[in-house]
Amino acid sequence: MNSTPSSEKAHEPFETKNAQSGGRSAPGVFKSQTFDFQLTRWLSQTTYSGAEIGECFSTAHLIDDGDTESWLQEWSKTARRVEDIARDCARRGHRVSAREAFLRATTYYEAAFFYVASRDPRKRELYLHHRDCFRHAGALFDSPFEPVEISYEGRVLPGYFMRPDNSAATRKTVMIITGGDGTAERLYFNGGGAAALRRGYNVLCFEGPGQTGAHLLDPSLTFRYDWEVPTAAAVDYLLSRPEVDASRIAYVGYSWGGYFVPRAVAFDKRISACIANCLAPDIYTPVVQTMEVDQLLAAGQPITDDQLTTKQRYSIEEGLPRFGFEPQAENLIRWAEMLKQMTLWGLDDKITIPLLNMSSTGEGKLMHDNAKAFFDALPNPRNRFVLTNEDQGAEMHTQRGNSSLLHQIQFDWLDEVFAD
Amino acid sequence: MTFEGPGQGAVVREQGLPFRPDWEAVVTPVLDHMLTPPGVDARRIALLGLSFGGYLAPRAAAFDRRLSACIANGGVFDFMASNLPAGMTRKAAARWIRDEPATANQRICDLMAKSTDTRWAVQNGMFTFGSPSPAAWFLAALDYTLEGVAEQIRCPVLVIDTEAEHGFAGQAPALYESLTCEKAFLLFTAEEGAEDHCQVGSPMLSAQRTFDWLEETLSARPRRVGV
Repeated sequence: MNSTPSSEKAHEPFETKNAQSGGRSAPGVFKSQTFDFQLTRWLSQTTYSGAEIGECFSTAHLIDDGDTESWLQEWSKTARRVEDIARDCARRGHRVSAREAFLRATTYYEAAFFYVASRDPRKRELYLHHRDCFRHAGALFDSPFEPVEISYEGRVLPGYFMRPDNSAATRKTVMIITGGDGTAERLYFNGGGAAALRRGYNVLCFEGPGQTGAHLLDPSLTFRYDWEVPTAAAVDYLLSRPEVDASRIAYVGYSWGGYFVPRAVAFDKRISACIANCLAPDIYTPVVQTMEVDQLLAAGQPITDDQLTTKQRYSIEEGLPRFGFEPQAENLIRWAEMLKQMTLWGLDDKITIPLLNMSSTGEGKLMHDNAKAFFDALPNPRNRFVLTNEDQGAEMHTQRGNSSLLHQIQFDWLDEVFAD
Repeated sequence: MTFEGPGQGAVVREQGLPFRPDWEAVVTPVLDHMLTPPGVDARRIALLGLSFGGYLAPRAAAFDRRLSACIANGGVFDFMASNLPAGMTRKAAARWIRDEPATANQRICDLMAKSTDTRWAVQNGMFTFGSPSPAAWFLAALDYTLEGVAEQIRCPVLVIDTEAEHGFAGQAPALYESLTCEKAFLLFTAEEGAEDHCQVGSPMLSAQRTFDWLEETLSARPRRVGV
């Protein structure tokens, strides 16, 4: 049941045990909640031929629970095996078989590098395989995916432009971004790229500065609070394409994208509808909590490397370079100041286009309440607040485990907004 | 073309038609129907049978020579082979059931009480075969064998097996061995995540192997003209 502002009642749906999953949608293969959540993510890609259930489970059951090195090894093996299938099929001229195997290998390579820190050379190597497999798959579609490099301050942002068919028709178009993890490639699957194509939209999946592939390819590309700048580069690109209906451009963002997208549409008025999954009016609190550095920062004292736990050290090594800081404890405070700039508060009256918020009960009461408080301040009567839950099999962060329901809700709403 | 024959889906539910072992009697009208309008290349028609269809498809291919290829996923040579009472041949089992139907019924009911799988299989079998009792179903099911039939198939056959096959364990190799036509054997493994009956959980991998074989088989062969 989707909650709307008028039907919103108490907060009893927030019963799941974990900010990411832990509900009945979880596969329950791992005791490690992050492993179980990530497994759901790859399983979810089956909806759009990006994974195979048997391949996911047969890999997962070989992984030592909670051991990220074992996780990397097993997913790498599966990725290589499936990539070999794809290449063999391609060599023998089996176009559909090659395409589907390349799509699955794309996912398994991402699974493999997921827990690897950005400066570990294995991350870049596995990422390049991930990208390469996706590009091979994309070239084998009847309307091939076009890898694009969006001009951005003398550098480039990576992405894909995709069309429902090869006609020159002018169509409504959706731009899709992820958040703190994920790639432009993954956005084809769970992110709604494939779902949008099936519904007749052009799609631009891209990564802004600091996001996984963009940062790996060019470490000088780091996160920034004024997301309207990279967004403007993407919109400029779209407007150079004759297939894009300039009056019907939508913008979808997942996870931290729930900050980036509303921020951008407050300033770039060429976008006419947006979806935040979910609205993240403050990035500071959820990010420092996820990285487990909230208490260090709250102490208000200088922070040194010898104070850090293993998890915190990983968080800093992985997180800080993507914000433009060297991964040292002493930089945490300056990094935190930058995160605090990432707030939507005060922008509510500038976010005037129709906005759909997608929250899920597994994200917890705090995330929901923040999203709802900001949502209630927004002016457009077409706005809609959706809260998905465990009974729908959609309580996980960004509706992992139920892409079909997610995309049905998102695109039905968008279809209606664009029909006006 | 996907279709249901007697004993399957809506045919048994809406028309009450039970399974029949001579499945060519089902496939022949289907082919007639398919070949009536233009659009089907009569020289390149394959028949793919899943699960119990791993018996039905090769059976039809043995008699309707318009088929250019056949896929049995998984291959079934003798439907009841692994269910025969210990030490009994098919003929002995048939004789025993005819002579002592009450004992046979009781024995099957005891097995059904112990296993969800068996209970489902027998109940579904009675329904789809139109059998009034477990023993009657067992007797009817004994007729579903390719003994003396498999060697009559002339088109290329792909026989599929899976490492964790349980209901039809050993049946795919038995079918493969009995074929005298062009043939291929494909085993799906646990390492691939595709070890279960019909590759449930891995439909893309299954389709990839199956249709890659079919594409190569149909494109490599000289196109057939009639019988």
